[in-house]
Amino acid sequence: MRFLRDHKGIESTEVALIIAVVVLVSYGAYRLLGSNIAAVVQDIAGRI
Amino acid sequence: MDWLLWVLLLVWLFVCMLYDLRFRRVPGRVTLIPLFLAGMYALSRGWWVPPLLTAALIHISDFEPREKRYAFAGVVSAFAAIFEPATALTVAILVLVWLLWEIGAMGGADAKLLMVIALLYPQPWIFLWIALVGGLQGLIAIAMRKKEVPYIVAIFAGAFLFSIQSVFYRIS
Repeated sequence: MRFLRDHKGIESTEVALIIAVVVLVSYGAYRLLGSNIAAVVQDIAGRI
Repeated sequence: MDWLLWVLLLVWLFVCMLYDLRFRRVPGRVTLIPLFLAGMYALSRGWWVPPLLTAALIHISDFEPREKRYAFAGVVSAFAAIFEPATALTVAILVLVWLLWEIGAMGGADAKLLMVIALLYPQPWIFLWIALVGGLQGLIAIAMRKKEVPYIVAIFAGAFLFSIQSVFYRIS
């Protein structure tokens, strides 16, 4: 399997920075909207 | 999570970091066995969605063409989050890690390490630490005019800092 055969352990510096920014923005959004997102997911789960 | 398991995780991450710094890759047996064990641990704790999603994403990685992989990963992840909303954040982390690997932005060894952490410790805080340390590492690498960074250093350092934070939090 392709994923299991890949043993590389290196990233570009830009990717490391992008991950940091994305995670920080996601964290901020989660703090602001977390409860609303959970309610929407629960609602969809309930309908299914 | 049991403190002994956490110590074992840190020791394993440290060993992976040494391999990565020396060889720029981590041997398969060093990552695959812990990935399997982490999946078993998650199942034993009743967290059945994250390990099954991990197995599905590994399987989907071989699909051709690329669009089919994205479509299947998206659908499987959406259903995983809907059927077990409590694990939605872990599902998002697993999919994001897989996606970063899929687009070639992250090495397979790093992706497996992050998946093991997500399976053993399905909380977002540790990933916040890892991302912050990774960002700092990226800034230092840019200042030193390097184009690539061994992200496993950020994974180990992030997990270690998270451990220290947790210990201080319990003491205070």
